[in-house]
Amino acid sequence: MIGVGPGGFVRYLLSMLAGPLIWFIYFSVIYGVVGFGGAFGFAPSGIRLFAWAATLAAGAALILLLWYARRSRASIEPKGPRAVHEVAGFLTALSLFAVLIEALALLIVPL
Amino acid sequence: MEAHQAVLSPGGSDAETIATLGWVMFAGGSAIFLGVIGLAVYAHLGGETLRRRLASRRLVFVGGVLFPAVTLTALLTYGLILTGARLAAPEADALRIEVTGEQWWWRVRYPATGDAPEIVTANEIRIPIGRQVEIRLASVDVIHSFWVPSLAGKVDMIPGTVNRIRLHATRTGTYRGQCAEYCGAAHALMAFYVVALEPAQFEDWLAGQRQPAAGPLTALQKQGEGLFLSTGCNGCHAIRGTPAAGTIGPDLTHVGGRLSIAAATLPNAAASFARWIRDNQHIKPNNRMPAFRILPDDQLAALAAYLESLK
Amino acid sequence: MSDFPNALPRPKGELAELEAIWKLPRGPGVLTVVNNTYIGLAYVATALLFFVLAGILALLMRLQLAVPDNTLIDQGTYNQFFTMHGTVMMFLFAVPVVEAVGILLLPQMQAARDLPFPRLSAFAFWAYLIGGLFFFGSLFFGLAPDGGWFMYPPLTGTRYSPGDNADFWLVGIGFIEISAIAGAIEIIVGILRTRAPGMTLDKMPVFAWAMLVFAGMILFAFPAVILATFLLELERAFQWPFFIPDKGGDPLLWQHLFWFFGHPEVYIIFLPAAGMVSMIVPAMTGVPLVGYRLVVVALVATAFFSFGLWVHHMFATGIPELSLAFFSAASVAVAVPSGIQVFSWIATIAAGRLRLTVPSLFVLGFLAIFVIGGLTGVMVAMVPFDLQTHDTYFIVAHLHYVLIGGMVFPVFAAIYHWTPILSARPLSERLGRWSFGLLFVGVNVTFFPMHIVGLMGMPRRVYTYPEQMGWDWPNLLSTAGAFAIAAGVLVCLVDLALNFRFTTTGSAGNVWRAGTLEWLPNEVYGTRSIPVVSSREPLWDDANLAEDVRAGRYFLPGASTGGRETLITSPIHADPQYLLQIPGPSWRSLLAAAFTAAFFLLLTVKLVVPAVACGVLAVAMIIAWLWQTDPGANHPPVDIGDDLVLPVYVTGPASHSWWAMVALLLVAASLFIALFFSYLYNWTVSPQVWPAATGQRLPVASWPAASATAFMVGSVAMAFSGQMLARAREYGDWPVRLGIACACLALAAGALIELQGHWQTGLRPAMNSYGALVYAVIAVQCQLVAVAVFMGLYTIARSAAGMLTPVRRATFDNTLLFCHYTVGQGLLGLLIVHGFPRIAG
Repeated sequence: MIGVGPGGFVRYLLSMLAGPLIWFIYFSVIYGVVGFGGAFGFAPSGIRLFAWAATLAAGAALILLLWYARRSRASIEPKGPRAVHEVAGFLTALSLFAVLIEALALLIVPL
Repeated sequence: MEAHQAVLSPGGSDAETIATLGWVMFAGGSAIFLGVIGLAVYAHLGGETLRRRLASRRLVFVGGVLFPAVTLTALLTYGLILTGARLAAPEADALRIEVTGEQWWWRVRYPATGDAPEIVTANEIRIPIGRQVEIRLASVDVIHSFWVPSLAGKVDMIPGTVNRIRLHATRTGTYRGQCAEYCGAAHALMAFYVVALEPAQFEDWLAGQRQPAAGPLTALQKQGEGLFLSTGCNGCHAIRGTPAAGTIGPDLTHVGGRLSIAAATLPNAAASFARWIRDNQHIKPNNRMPAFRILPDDQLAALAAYLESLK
Repeated sequence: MSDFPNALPRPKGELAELEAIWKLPRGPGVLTVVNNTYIGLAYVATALLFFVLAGILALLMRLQLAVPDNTLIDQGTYNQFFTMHGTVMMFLFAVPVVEAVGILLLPQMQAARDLPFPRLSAFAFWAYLIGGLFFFGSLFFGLAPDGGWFMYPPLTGTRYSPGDNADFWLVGIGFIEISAIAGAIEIIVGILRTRAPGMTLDKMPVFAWAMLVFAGMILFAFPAVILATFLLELERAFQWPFFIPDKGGDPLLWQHLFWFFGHPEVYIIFLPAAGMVSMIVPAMTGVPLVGYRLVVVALVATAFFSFGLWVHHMFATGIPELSLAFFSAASVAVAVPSGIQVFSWIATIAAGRLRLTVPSLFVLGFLAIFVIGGLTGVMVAMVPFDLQTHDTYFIVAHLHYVLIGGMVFPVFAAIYHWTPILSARPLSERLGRWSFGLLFVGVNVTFFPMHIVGLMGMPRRVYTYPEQMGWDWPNLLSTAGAFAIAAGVLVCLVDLALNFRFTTTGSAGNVWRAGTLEWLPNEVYGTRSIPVVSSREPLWDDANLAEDVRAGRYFLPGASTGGRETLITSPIHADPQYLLQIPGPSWRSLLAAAFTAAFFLLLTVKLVVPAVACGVLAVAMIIAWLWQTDPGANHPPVDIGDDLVLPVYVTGPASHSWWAMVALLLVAASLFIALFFSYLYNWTVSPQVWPAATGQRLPVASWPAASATAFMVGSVAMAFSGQMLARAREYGDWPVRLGIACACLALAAGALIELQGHWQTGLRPAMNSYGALVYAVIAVQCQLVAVAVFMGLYTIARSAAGMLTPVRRATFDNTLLFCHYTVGQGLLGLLIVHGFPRIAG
C-alpha cells in the first residue's frame, strides 16, 4: 500500500493541469517576447510572427489535449479516473478560450 | 470658478470615447446584474417546473460559461479596438508640452519652437481646442500621475522614464486635474488646471507668456520686488526679466495671471499670496517651501501685491 | 452490521485514554496547546481582532472625509491610517482568517485527528499574533508605515521615507508572509495526506479543494512579494539600487513583483470564501452542489488565470499597448470561472429548498454584492476605462464590493454556519438577521456612492477635498454607511459574546442537517473513529454514520500507539498508508515564535544586539523543537481495524514530511524565478549598467567553474552519505557523518568562491543595479547554503545522538533534498550571472 508514491500523484496532477499549464507557458512566452523582445534586438514584425506562432502552437496543443481527454473519458473505466479526465477536459476548454482571446488581442492591437 | 473634473462630462475626445464605453458597460452591467438576481429569486421562489429546469448543470454551463464567453468576447473586442487606437501616430501640427511632477506641484514647459523661446510655468496648462496636444510626462522625485478626467485617462509620471499623453479638447473651458498616484504627504493637495481656449486666444496667451515679467508699477509693488530679491525668494523661484533665477520651485514670471497658487490649493488673489508666504506649512503641510513667519505684515502685503501684479 | 472495521463493544478505558492524550494542558501550560480546534479558534479570533482594528481606522478616515476641507485628522496621520487599513486588512485579516478557518475545519471535514504538523500551526499562529500586534502598535508611536499598502518606491526609499516607518512594513509584513507560507504548507500536506479513507479527490468537500488551491497559490505568489520586500530592504539599509533609476534600477520592477503577488492575492482571499459558500449552500438547501466538478474546474482555472493579471494594476504606467491588451484579455478570461460558481450556487438553490437562515442570508447578500464587484471588475479590465478609474474612488468601490462581498460576507456566513460545531449553542437567528441587515445596507450605502464620486473625479488616498468639487454628498453618505457596517459587526460580536460557548464535548451539533464530515460528533480528539467515505455527503447517505463513528466502529477508535496519532492516506484515492504520530503541546514552538518575532521587530528599530540575542534564542528553540520530531519506528505496526495493519513510521516519498519539504522547495524555486525576472527586467530597462556597456570586468571562467565544482561535490557527498546511511550496519555511522560534513564544506565553499570571484573584480552591490542584482543572487544563494549547512550539522548531531539509522532517516532525507535543491539553484545562478552578460551583454 505504501507503494503508491508521489510519481502517480505528479502524473495525476499533470494530466489534470496540462491545459492551464499550457496556457500559462503560452502567456509567459507572448508577454515575454513582447515585453523583452525589443531589448534583445528583435524587430517588431519578428515579435508579432513569434507571438502568432506561439498562439497557433498553444491552440493546437490544447485542441489535441481536448480530443485526447474526450477519447480517454469514453474508453476508461468509470469511477476515479473519469473524474480526472472530465475536470481536465473542462480546464483545457477554458484554457483554449483564454488562448483564443489572447489571439484577439494580438489581432486587434498593433505592436 | 467652474472647473470640470468628471469622467462623464467630457470636454475632450479621449474622455468622450471612454464615457461612451462607460455608459455601454453601465447599461450592460445593470442588465446582467438584474438578470442574475432575477434568476436567483426565481431559483428560490419560482414554480416547481421552472426550478427543476434551473437545477441542472446546463444552467451552470449556459449561464456560467457560454453567456460570459460570448458577452466578454464582444466587450473585449470593443475595448481592444479603443486600446489599439491609442497607438495612432501623433498629428503633424500637434502642440508639444512637457510636464514634470514634483512633490507636490507641476512644472510645465512649452519648448522653444523656431525663434520663439521656451516658456516655463507651473500648475496650469493652456491648450487650444481642436488641436492635438502631446504632453511628455516626467518626474523628478517619486511617482505621480497626470489626470484630467474631463479630457483623457491618466498616465503615470515615473522617475527615469518619459511617458506621453495626448489631449484633444473639443470644448473651451477650465478643466481641473489632480495627481492620481499617491506621492507622499501632500498628495491630496497636488492639483492643477487645464484651460482650453479658442486657437486665437491661445496664441495671444502664448505670446504674452513669452514676454518677461512686466516691471512693478506702484511703489508697493516695487517694494515687493525688492523684498523678493532680498529675502531669498529668488533662491528657489525665477521671474524672467529680473535677476531671480531659482529653479527649485515654480517659475513665477506670470504667476499673477494664473487661476490658482500652490497647485490649485488657493485661489489667485493678493490675500492668498500673503497667507501662503507666511502660513504655507499649515495650508499645505510638508511642502518644500519654508514658512516666512518673520516677515512683518507690511512687507507681506508688498510681496503679495508684487506677485499679484505679475500677469 | 458486522462489516465495520472494529467490533463493539470497545475495550474499557480506550475512550478515557484517548481523552487523556488529547486533553488541553492545565494552568499556564494552556498556552502550549497545539490541537487544531484551539489554535484554529484563537487564529480566527485574532484575525477578527485585526478586522475590527483596521475597521476602526476606516471609521476614522470616513469621519475625516465626511465633509470637505475637514481638519479632524492631519495628512500625516491620515496617510498612516490608509496604509495601515489596507495592510492590516489584507495581511493581518483576510489571508490569516481564511487560513485560520482552514486549520479549524479541515481536519474535521476530513475526519483527521489533527493536522500533520500541529506545532507548525501553533508556531505560525503565535508568530502572527505577536508580529501583528507589534506591527499595529507602531501606529501609537507615529512609526506606522505611510507609503500605502503597495509601498511603491521611490516614495518608500530612504530618500523620501527616511524614518523607520517603511521598515516596519518591510520587515513586519515579510515576516508575517513567512508565517502564512508555513500555514500553507501545513494545509497542503493536511489536505493531500490526512483525508478519511475513501475520500478520493473527487469526493473531497469543495472547501478542501478551495483551500488546496489557496495554499498552492500562496506557494507561488507570496515569494514574489517576499523577494520584493527583501530587495527594498537591501536598498534602504545598504543602498543596493534595485529601484533607483539613476543607477539603472527601475521603480516599475517593484510594481511587477508586488502585483505578481498582489493580484493572485485577491483570489487567494476569494477562493476559500467561495469554497465556504459551496459548503453552506448545499447544507441549507439539503441537496448536493450542482456541478461539483465544474466548481472544482472554476477554482483551479481561477488560480491559473490570476497569475496572468498582474499588469492590470499598471495600465497607466506607460507599458506598451499590446502587453496591456494581453493582460486585459486575461482579466476577461478570469471572469468565466467566477460565472461558473455563481450559476452553480443558483442551480443548487433551485434544486433544493433554501432555508432562509442567517448563513443563507449572508450567502445571498454575498451573491448580490459580489456580482456587482465582478461586473465593475470586468469594466476596469478594459484598458481605456481603467485609465479613467484607476486610483479613483471607483476602484475603492470595486475592490470593497469584491472583498467585502466576496470574502467578508462568506466569513460571516461561515461564523454563523459552523459555530454549532464548536459551541454549546448556535448563534442567535434574531441578532444574526440584524447583523446581516445592517451590514448589507451599510456596505451598499458606503460603497455604492464611491462609484459615483470616483467618476466625479475623486482620486484615492486623499485626506481631504475642496468644497467646490461637489463630492460632499456622496462622501457624507459613505460615512453614514460606514457606521451602519460598524453597527452590523458590533451586533455580530455581541451575538458571539452572548451565545458562543466553546466546548469540545457537548457542541450543538448538526443543527442544519448538513452532509459533510465536520458535522460528525467531534470531541477534543476529533471523531472517535475515522469513517470510510464513499460519497461527497456521507452523513446524508448513511443515517447511522454519526452513531457508528461515535461508538468507535470505524478505524482507529483508540490511541493504538499510546500517543497522538492520525491516519495518513494516499493523496489521490485516500487509501490508508501509515499512522502518523503527531507531537503534543510544547513550549518550544511557542518560544521559537516569540523569539523569531522579537528578532525581526528589534531589527526593525535597529536594536541590533538584543535582536541578535533573540535570533540565537529562536534558533535554539527551533532546534529543541525539531529534536523531538522524527521519532522513528518506535512502535510495531498497529492494527487500526479490519485487519489493516499500518506502520507507524515511513520515510522517503511516501512520508508526509517529504511532501512538506517539496512544498518548501517550490517556494524557494518561485522566489528564485522572481529574482531571475528582476535581473532580466532591469537589464531590459537599463542595459547601460551591464558589463557590456560599462566595461565592468567579469570574473574569469575559472571562478564560476570552481564554484560549480564545489556545489556538485556537495551533492555527490550527500548522495554518498545517503548510500552509506543505507549500509550503516556494515560500515558504521562515520562515513555518513563525514559525507554530510564534506557536503556542508563544499556548499559553503561554492558560495564563498562565487562571492569572492565578483568581489575581486571590483564590482560592488551599491555601484549600480547590475551589481546589486549579482550580489542579490549571491545573497539568496548564501541564505540557502546557510540553511543547508545548519541542516547538515543538525543531521550530524542526530547521528551522533544515535537518532539516525537506516530506518529512521526522515531527517536525513529532508536534508538531502534541500542540499540537492541548493546545488541546483546554485548552478542555475552561476549560469545566469556568468552566462547572461557574456551572451546578451
